[in-house]
Amino acid sequence: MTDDINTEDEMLLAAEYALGLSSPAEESAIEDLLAVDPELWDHHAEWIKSFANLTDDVAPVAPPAGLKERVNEALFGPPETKQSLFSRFGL
Amino acid sequence: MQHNAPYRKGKGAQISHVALNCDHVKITQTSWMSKRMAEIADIENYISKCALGDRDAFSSLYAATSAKLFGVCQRVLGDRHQAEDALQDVFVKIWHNAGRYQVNGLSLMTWLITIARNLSIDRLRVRKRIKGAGLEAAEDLASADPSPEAMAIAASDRVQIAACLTELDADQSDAVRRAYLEGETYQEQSTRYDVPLNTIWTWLPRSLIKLKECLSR
Repeated sequence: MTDDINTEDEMLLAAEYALGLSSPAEESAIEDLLAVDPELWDHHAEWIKSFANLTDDVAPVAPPAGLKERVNEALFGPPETKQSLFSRFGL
Repeated sequence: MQHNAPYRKGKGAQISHVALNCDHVKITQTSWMSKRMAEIADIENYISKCALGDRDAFSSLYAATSAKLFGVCQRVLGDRHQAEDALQDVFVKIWHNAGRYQVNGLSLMTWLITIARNLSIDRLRVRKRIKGAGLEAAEDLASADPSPEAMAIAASDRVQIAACLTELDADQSDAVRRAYLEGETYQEQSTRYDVPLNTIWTWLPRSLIKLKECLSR
């Protein structure tokens, strides 16, 4: 990008995209551009960093105890139950 | 080799929620800061190991970051049960994309928080569509009072966007926050502020340009 107007447009595109304000068509166009346009990527990275700081006031909340098991199951399948000596030998 | 000094006790052990949760408010700011940096380095290490399929590292990452990310999911969704489903998606995505983190150049917490926020917003929008209504989902979100611990965390980082938002008109800074934390669309903002969509299309970008100028100072 060589002139200010286009730079500003890119900055705004990146901001709207980071906020989730782009239309679905714009979103997919921006995603294609992000892969090839380092300047747009830099704008995007700066915006998401700034916006992520809006969550600094959000207090941590411990998730329920069983949630990690749910995550594991979703990723790795049901937990392996410990096999007894007999079953390991097919008994 | 024994380290008798009490502050060495936890060194090298699995990190607690301190970086994000801060249970140890009594330690001095300087040691707190260096401790936090060490913990971030630990979490980065966990992510590198996750990329290689290390499930123990994944558990450590979960232990260190899930409370903050669950807080973000709850803030966006305003519903504990849905936040649980969202958090599950978040960690599934983190596991699958751990290898990409190293090449995207983002800071660790930015990356994790963005995943949690975006997946929560996606769920929120599906919920709004199902309800066929625009605003009530976001309306019942209480803006939780930040704990003193949370206030202390990353204070210097937060100052910048918070300070810059105060330079905007109240409605405009509110609109930026609502877009990010509650997924409000242009259409919803037009309804909220009772102005034509065209007006929103003009003034939100104008706010973003001002915000960017301030953030770049």
